[in-house]
Amino acid sequence: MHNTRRVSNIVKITGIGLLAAASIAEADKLRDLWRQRKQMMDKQWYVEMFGKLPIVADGDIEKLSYDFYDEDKWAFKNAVIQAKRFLQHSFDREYEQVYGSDARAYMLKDRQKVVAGLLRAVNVPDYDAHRTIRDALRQDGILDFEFHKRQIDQHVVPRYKGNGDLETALRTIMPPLGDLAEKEKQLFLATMPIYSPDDYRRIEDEIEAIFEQSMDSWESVDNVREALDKKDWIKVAHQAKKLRGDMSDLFEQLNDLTDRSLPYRAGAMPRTVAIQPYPEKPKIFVFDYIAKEWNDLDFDRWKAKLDAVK
Amino acid sequence: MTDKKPRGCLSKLVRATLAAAALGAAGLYVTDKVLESKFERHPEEKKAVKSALEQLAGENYQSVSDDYKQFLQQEGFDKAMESITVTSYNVFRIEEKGDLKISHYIVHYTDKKGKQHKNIGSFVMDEQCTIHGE
Repeated sequence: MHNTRRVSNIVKITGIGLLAAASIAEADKLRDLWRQRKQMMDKQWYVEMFGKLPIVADGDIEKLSYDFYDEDKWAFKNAVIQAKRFLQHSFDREYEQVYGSDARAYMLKDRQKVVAGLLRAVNVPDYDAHRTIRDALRQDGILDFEFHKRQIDQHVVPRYKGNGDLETALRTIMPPLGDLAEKEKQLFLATMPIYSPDDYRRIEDEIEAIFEQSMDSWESVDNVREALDKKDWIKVAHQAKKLRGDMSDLFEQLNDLTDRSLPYRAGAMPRTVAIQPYPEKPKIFVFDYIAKEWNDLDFDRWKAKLDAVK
Repeated sequence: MTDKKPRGCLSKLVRATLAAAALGAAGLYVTDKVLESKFERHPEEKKAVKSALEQLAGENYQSVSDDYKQFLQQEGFDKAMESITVTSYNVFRIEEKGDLKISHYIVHYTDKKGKQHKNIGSFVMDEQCTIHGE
């Protein structure tokens, strides 16, 4: 009896001790988090870029948008340069100094804000600012169309031709390969400058809707990746189906946007060159560096190559 | 009259087929919904962040830690919120980082002049969904 009570007391004391230790560790971690946050807030560049308050846009990055470009071009361009510096890892060391081994997670959190800001501002009709945004997003991989093409050629095409269960399942849920090239082409066209603010405002709601939906799709991508890791095939099938639905809606909107916005882009601007994305539609004018990228990518030739894959 | 009978039969058949198809579609829809909710990530966290955004828009600090509340008050968050009206928000992603979670949201608001703004933000929260900062 004595022994039982003693064991029970030991269990209780150990349990309470463990709980107390856990809550102390938790409190320590939260205190660390708060201390680290304050350290970041002491950095002038950080506060200027990201602001201090939730909800309101009180940082430069939070103001990256077509509207803000129209309002204050100088401040906009400054925010673009800072965003590019961030994506070029110029501030990584400062995150490491403050967050130590957790630095990567916090850098990625802020990187998402930077990328989202640049994507929202990609349609600005400014030769240099647009180029800087394109370069930053290309270096980051988001708008690296050459990389997208390589990924499809090296990873999707072999799966499409494979005979395993997973390959068959993927082939069933995937659109024809040539469609992927067409979607990439639409995506490219959706990132081009729109020369008139009035024209931009006419399609602004659609652009925002595309932006929000693409953000939501990130989660589906995470779900598919997680399900594949766990080999949970029901989840893979369902989430891949959902992702396909999401992506198909997204590209439908993109297609609509491209159709509606292309004529608006036909304004003559300095250093623009004409390209003709669709033979049945009028030519459009784009900055010379975009035309070069467009010609190098040659989406139509790539589509023909993918269409020929059996 | 002679025409009516076969049409009636056909109509019954069509109705039955349509009903079966509708039931099938409804069944698929329900299955999809069930699977979607089963595989939805972090539903509780998303709910908590939405409610926190609502509370903060109403200058209520129930969902944030004491430290963060103090910081927001020091930085004049109350004043900043007085000049805006939040119109909508959406939590689009929750990431896990050990015991902590990082939630990303998009918020739309209107300023005093009636101009609309959108902002993308993030919260860092603990397992109990208390927000400890941005």
